[in-house]
Amino acid sequence: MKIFKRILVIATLVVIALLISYLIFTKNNVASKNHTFCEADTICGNFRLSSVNARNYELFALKDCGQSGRAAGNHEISQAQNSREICESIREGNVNA
Amino acid sequence: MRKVLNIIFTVLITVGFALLGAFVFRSSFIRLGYACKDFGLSVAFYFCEMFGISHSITPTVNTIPEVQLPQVTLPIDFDGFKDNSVQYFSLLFSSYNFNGWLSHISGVMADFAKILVIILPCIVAFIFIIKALYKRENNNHGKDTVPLRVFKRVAKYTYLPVKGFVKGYAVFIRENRWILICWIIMSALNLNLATIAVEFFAYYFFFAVAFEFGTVYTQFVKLFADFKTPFIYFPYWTLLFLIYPLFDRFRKRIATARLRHYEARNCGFINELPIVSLTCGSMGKKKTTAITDMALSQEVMFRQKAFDILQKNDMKFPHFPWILFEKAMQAEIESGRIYNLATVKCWVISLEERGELFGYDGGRYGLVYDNGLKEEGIYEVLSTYAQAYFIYIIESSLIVSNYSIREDNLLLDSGNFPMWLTDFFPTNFRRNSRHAHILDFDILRLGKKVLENNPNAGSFEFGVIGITEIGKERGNNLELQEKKKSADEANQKNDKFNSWLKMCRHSATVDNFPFIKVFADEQRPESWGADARDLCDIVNIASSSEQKLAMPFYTIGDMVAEWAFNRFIGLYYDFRFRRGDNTLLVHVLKSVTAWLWKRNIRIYNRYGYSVLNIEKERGTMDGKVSKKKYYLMNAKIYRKRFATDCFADYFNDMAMRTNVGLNDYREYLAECASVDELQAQNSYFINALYGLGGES
Repeated sequence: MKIFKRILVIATLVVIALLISYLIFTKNNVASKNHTFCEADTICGNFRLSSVNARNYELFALKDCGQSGRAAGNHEISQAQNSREICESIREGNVNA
Repeated sequence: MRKVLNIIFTVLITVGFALLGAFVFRSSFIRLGYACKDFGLSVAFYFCEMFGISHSITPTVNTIPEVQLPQVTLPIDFDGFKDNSVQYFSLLFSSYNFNGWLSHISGVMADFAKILVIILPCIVAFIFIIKALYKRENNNHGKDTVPLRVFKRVAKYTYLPVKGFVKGYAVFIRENRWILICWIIMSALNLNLATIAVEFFAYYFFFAVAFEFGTVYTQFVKLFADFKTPFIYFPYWTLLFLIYPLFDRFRKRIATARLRHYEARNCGFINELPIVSLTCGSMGKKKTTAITDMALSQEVMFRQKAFDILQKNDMKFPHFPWILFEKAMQAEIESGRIYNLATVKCWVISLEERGELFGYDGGRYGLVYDNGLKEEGIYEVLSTYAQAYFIYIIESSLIVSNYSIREDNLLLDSGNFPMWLTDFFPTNFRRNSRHAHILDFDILRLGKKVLENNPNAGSFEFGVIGITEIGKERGNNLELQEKKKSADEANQKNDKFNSWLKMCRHSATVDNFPFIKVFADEQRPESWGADARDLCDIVNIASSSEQKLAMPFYTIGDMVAEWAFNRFIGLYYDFRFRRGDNTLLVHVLKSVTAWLWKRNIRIYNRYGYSVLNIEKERGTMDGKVSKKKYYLMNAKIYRKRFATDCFADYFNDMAMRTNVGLNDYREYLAECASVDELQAQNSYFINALYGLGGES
């Protein structure tokens, strides 16, 4: 009974932690006003890095995008460049907004 | 010297706070200036609107000052917030966002796995080295190894002085709380929290007259922006230092509330019992613990009931100078003229004879109270009040028992109406103690007394009687066959104890409430004679639950403490078997484990409880059994309340008179006992077999 309770508590804590992590992850994507960028970013197969760093994409994400594009091996750098262009256009859009 | 050091340290910290305010948190003070401006304009706006004064005041509380803009994270207007919310929820339930999150989590897990891959071999290697080192056996009893000596020496000049200083400084701060308050105020100013308070009042005054619900969102934007200040300088995880103590306090409050609730349920159970109850159960079922717990609760309930009677009788003559009456009575108690309920009644009669009313204007306020059923004269009410006051004020235990019970109720008296502190679960335990009165059984005997002309005989009127092992004291019909009612000496048949049991409420009744309860325990109900037992309710303890904890959210803490203890204790005794010296690793591990273990024990002692499953039946033992629960809270009953081995001194004394111990008893020489060994048992059965000794 005691062990069952402990397993239940740990499982609940893990689920809560994952849920919070997902909520924050989603919030960061919105905060960046940049989920179109994320979509574009899937081109270079680096959704994780770009979305985590989305808020700082001016500094990091574009670079990561290019790097991961190379790392993925399936995509040409030009594709990453393509996403970079999209990103930049969105960023300008945000600035204008 | 110590005080000077404390003062210097305090000044340094205060200057540190001031410098931080001047150079790091300057924007907070600028923001506070804006908040004060908002507040001033809002107050002016409020009064002008309230009193209809024409004005041209424009409250600024709904505008976001420029200094705050860099910290604004929410959209400025509500439409923007709505857009973001829609975006958020559409993203929340979108598959690509979820896939992205999974990639993110797997990335984190991968990082964690990398760290684990590096650390695990190190730990395994460390364990092997330590095991190899500790395999070497020795008998260097109590000697420290070189690393431990170095560690202790370093700790002596670094950790211990710092720890001593911090402890001493904490005491200094507790003694001078104003320092702490100053620091809290300075921190609130630095971290922009003061601004939030000022802005709250600014908006309160504005909203009270303007009722513009559209401005609420702007306040949220400002609030979130203001809250962001601390997190510009500190990471979010630092919140743990603030949240954990609050969380700890929150769960402890829940635990205390639960324990008080269980105590209230216990009181309900006790109130259901008749005046005499017999608690039964086999050895170790917590019978004496249960009756002690009931006696402690009953005493508190008697004080509360007396207080209740005082309150109600006070209302019967609301303009009577009760304080003068109480003081006069206290003087009589102190002079020894009032010492029991009978003398209380006599004193009120003497007041009536003298017509003493302590300046009460009977002509104006009345001398008779009509409750709709009958009329009570003022002296009748005074008599009741005085008896209840005597029971309430008497500053000694109300428990009279044949074993010692410790209690820690405290009477607070500032010279007016005294109040009892009777809480069993205070934050800080009371250190004062008093013990139950010794039960002289002659006070409960209406017939023959063991001590002829016993001065205590006939003195008992009210209180809580606790008798453990009552069957051994009173016996049953079988055991008393040899006793004669006509015997010259007092015995269970001629002492009229049972008559007292049947009539005890008569001396103890005040305002129709009997201030008497008898709690007894015995292993079998049949051990007590039926004449007395039939008066009782029998409380059979069927079982006792394992320890439970009233404090929520402690599973992880409990688990860590248990795991650390179980892991360490095996290792430690293996080490002790092999070696007699002290090593650094064991020293450190033992310190950490002991800290965790002690903390865990403290938590269980403060907030732990067990449940007694009780089967209650009539003393005639021919009725239905009702199942009940009784809660034994550790903080109440195991705080040195009584000794479970209350008759231990009898056996100690007996053992001291012999020169033999367990080691000196003969042992069997083989699996089958020899004739000589059998005869050494002095057994009736064996002696009968061999025709030895008397008849079996």
